[in-house]
Amino acid sequence: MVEMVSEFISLLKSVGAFHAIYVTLLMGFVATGISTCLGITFGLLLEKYHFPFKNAVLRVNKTLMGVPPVVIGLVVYMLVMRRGPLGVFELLFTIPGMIIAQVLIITPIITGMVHTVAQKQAPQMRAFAKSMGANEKQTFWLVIRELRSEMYFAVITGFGRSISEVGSVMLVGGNIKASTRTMTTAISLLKSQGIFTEGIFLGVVLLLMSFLLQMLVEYFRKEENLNENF
Amino acid sequence: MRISNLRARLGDFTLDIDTVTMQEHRIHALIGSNGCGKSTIAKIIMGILPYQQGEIDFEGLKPHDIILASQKPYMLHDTVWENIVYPLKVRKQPICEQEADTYLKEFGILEKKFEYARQLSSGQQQKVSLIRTLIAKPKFIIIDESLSNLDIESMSTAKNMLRRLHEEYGATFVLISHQVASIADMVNEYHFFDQGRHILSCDLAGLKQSSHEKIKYYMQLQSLR
Amino acid sequence: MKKLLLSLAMAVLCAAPAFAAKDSTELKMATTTSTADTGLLDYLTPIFKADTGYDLKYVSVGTGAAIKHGENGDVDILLVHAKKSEEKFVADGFGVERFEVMYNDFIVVGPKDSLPYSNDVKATLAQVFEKKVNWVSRGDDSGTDKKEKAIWKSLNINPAENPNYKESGSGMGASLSMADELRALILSDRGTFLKMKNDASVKLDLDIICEKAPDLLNQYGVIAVNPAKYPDTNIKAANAFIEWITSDKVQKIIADFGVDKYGQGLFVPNAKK
Repeated sequence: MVEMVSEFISLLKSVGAFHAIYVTLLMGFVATGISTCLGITFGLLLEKYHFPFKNAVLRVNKTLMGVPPVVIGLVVYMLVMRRGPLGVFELLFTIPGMIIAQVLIITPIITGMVHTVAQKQAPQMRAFAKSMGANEKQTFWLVIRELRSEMYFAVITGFGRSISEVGSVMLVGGNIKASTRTMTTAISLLKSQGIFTEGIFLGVVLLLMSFLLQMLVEYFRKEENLNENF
Repeated sequence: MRISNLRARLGDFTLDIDTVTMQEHRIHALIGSNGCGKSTIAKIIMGILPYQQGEIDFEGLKPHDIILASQKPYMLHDTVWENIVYPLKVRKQPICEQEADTYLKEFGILEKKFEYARQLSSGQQQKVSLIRTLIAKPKFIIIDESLSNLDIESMSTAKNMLRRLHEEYGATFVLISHQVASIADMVNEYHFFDQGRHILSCDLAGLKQSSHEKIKYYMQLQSLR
Repeated sequence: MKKLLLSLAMAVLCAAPAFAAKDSTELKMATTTSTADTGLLDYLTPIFKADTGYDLKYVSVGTGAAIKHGENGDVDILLVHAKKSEEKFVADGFGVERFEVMYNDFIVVGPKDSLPYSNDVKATLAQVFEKKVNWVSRGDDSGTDKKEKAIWKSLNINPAENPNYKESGSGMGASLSMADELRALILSDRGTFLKMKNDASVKLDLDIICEKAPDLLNQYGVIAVNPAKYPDTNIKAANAFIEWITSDKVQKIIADFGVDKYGQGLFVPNAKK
């Protein structure tokens, strides 16, 4: 049994699985952090301001929410490759490169979720803030504060998407061992070697992460339900 | 505050007001049947709704000096306490917990202080809304229907509170109501509206004596004539 | 625990009905990425259909995974290039018999003038290590990867000690692109390299650094999965394929494949009659 476990662990080490867990989390946190700032800003701006072609912008965003990540990965690959327009920054096969791709995938999702909920609730929040004599800045912060549980939900969804995504990180990151290999690309590699057991183990770790996220979401939902109990 | 030649179009509804003057330190009432534009005026004053034409002379009142308790109060996704102190935070005024507790106690909701505001009944939410409106002691206070939704006991508590504030700080009050009788004991001046138009501004006696058809009918419905 | 997890993995696999279709005119093959990436199999499939009536369906994966597919009885036939693993596959009773089909050769490619041209792969790799040259390794346990590891081992070098050594964990095509991007050297099969150099939308800016070394031969073998082990496999179709691909006619087709496009054949047929 002990032997089996140590063999199991050494196999995981041979594909750099433990470093991959670290890369997955690092990428997930940074990409979600950036996407959160962008997504919340875009979502709220889209709700608040009217401008020509706003509907077109919204429709494009909705479309981007459903674009296969591998397509985004390909686009980013072509942008950052050595002979691409952003080649001089040497972002291909680096974690920052992967983060760029992920931000492009997650931001539309957070933007869309924030916009949808803000469209429904922000007008009455703004009306309230004004009726209390709040200025523009205070009104803005009130809307953000009041939408916080919906925003947590959007952010957690984004993070979940980030850690589970494989197409774009495979293309842009290149699945380089101990560098840009993530849990999903490691699983993909293990599978290509015909090694399923360790792949499933990594899958279980991902499942656990997803389960923890789920619990977080439930927690916020619960608080929300308590809140909304008329 | 003086509203002159105000014209606002909101969907099919048009608000068209010649001149309404609301003198300071007095208690005003905007009256009229449903859909006459009372709440719309309040929202325009607060900058929540736009208007196309006309002028509002705030006579030196700053945004922080005016406050509105809406007909359907918005409760923050937070505790009663946070709801009550919000106008103080907006004005960066110090929070006097003792005073807030007194208000809560008078309305009998002190024990709800740290409960989620959205869990309260709608009557209790109205009380939170009233406290929230009065606590920062602004100079110009608009209360939209909040009084009429309260039970008799709470209504008299609220009115006492209002009177006290009026006497101590000389705040200007604008009460929006469709029940003249319930507020007749404190209002100095009535402004009657009908279908988006301002008809008359006068005291209670003036209302009773008016020969205008709409006002006559309205007063009959209120059993005040 | 390992067993439990493995059975869980199998359960997941079985649930996916990818290979469930039962059709006696269908030949399921597991093969390496190189035969697919070069386009050879796509070229042969319609000819095979015309000659024998069988439909060839193939999955192209690393040699390790391909052999695993054979061991699981997921496929009817293997076309791979890792002689030792293939012989073990037959010895363990999973395969009927191994037939040699063709070979291509491995080459070391890299940016022009990164290292001097040579015909001695050991010397080239030793230099890579000494000069800490950028190097991309497949690291996916494929035939190519096994070949590379064997050479490093014969040199008594742990290539990972070179700070500029990277494991791509990807197929040949993706790894070549990576080497191109990172200005690195890489061990590749000639076929995939020539195809990528000519056909890729971003043409490889890499040149041959080392070729024609005796240790760089890449022998392909074909093995029918043993019907004694997996009676469900299509042994008739598998045998038909083996007979067909080792025939003089098809051996000639393989020899000519790619000549018009790349000026040289990608594979050298060497089936024994």
